Amino acid sequence: MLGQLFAAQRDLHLQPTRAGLAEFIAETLAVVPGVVSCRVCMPGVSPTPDELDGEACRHCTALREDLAPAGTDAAEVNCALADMPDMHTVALKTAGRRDGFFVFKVDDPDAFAAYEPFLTGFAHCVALGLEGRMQKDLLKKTGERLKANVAARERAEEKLHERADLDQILLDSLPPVAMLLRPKTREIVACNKAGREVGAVPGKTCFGTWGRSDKPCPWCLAPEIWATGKPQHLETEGVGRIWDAHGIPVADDLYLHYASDITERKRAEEERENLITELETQNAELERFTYTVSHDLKSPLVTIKGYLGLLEEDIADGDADAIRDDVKRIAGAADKMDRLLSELLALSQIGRLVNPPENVALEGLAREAVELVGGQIAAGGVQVEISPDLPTVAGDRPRLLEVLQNLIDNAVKYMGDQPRPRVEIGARPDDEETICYVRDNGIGIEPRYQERIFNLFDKLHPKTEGSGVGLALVKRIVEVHGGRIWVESKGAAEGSTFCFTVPPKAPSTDAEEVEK
Amino acid sequence: MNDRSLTVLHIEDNTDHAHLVARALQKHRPVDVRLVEDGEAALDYLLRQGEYRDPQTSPRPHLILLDLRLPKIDGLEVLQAIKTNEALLSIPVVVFTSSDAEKDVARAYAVHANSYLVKPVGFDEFSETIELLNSYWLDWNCYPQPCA
Repeated sequence: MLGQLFAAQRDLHLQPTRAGLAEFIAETLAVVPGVVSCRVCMPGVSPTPDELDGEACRHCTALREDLAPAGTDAAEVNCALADMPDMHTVALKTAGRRDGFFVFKVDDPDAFAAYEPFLTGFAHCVALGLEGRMQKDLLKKTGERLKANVAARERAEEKLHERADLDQILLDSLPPVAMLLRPKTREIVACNKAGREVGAVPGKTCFGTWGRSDKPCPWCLAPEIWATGKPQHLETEGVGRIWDAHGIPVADDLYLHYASDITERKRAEEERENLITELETQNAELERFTYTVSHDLKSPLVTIKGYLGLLEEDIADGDADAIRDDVKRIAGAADKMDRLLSELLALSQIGRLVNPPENVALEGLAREAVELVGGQIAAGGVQVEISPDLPTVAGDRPRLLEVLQNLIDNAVKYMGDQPRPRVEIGARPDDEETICYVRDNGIGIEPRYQERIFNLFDKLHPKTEGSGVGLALVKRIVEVHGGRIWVESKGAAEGSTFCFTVPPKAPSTDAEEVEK
Repeated sequence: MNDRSLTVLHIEDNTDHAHLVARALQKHRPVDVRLVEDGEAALDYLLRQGEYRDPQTSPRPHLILLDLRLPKIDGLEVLQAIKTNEALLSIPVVVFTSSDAEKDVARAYAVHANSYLVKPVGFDEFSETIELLNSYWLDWNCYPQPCA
């Protein structure tokens, strides 16, 4: 019988499942002398009370965790069975861990008692076997769990990398320059693509790389961030661009600097402002124009109608001299009006008439202008000198001819009683431009009147011919070409020099500009 | 009505207009009309400077007729100079101009013009305006002090 039991003990590990093991043990132990039947009570395989001796199981606390906490041994469990003398239990346990019970129904307690030590040993073997199996299971499970953990970790890392890549893609696809910086040293810890494109190099200073300087930018946000711990913002110029710069502290020794290049926006704003200013100037000019035109055109009308009335009276009086004077004044006013109208027409057309811009040699143009004013020059005995160093400019040729013609005509007209009247047309370099001039030794212009003379209808000398349109016209032509005009004179009898600039090359004086 | 010798200073760059005004003013009685053709000359006359130094040949006017658009110094500047000068401010200044722009009217009164007349286009209206002006300012108007 013992041989049978030892064999069973050896074969315990062959049982594939707990339930199978319990059944095998129960069958084996049923052969022990004095034993009627044997049950194995283990978690997961405990028989229901009805299957066993219902009454006993109901009292048994062996597997009821609420009544028999872990560590309760067989003796204590037996207490529950004390009033059932035919029931005996042997605990299955290892290292204080209870795994279950053998429950024997005994009809010969003495015979059973003789085998009890063996049964305890057997139980220990079973428990050890169970534990081994459990540990194997545990190992297997742990291994599996470990494997799963590793896989999960790998997946997580993959995701993390993917995430990091995405973050980088996100940062790199943002147009602003973004950098993480050390506020004290301005060392770049990290930066995005826009940052790298403007020269930022992680590990180096921002001013040394992006700023191309050996010291921090004067506007650097870092000291303020360092001092206040608060975000900072400003618009500034740097490396030839305009930046909308923000600095945001992100850690004790780290701040985020991001800067958007707003150069184009700023340029557009500036352009808009310029356009508005230009428009306002033009509006004001138009208003002035309308005002002066209405005023100055009315003036000859007052004369004409006034003298027509006088003419009637003088005819009635038969005063021939007065009649002649009246008619002369009427004709004069009509002529003035005619001249005014054609000059105003010329002035209004400057903005519209477009002659394609061309390279114009001012020396040749000056000769042409002098020829046009030839009559007056000869009459006044004026000596005219044209400098050979006059530049070649780009512009509207007929218009530029008008400028020179008007200026030469004026110079000859305002000679006063100069015994040796002289007009010089020349040029002098000044910074990046060439200043052209028409200089005379005539009556000169006092400094306080020098600005007014370019205004429409403003005349300094009431007795001279002319309507006060000429210089306004000249000014307008020069300005349409993108140039400037002014007069230099020390005062009365000191002669005058009318200076103007016209850009030497075509870009800013193309057809569009002239049209404008 | 008034036997005084009356002097009018006409500040006007348009000699045709000046002639029309002088003829209308002198139509019914002698009026001494002094013409200056730019703002600078006007102030020289009133302040007795340069060629106008002699009070005998450049008498103080009883009335000033002032055009606004003038060479050298603008009519409004001349007006302002007159009305800020203790010795001159009592001389009535009638602005006589072809401008009917509100801006000009407002500015002229802002620097204390005594009257603002727009030059009428049309002989009859022109003559009538000057005649009325003559009788109002030179006959009926009282002056704070007898003029020398």
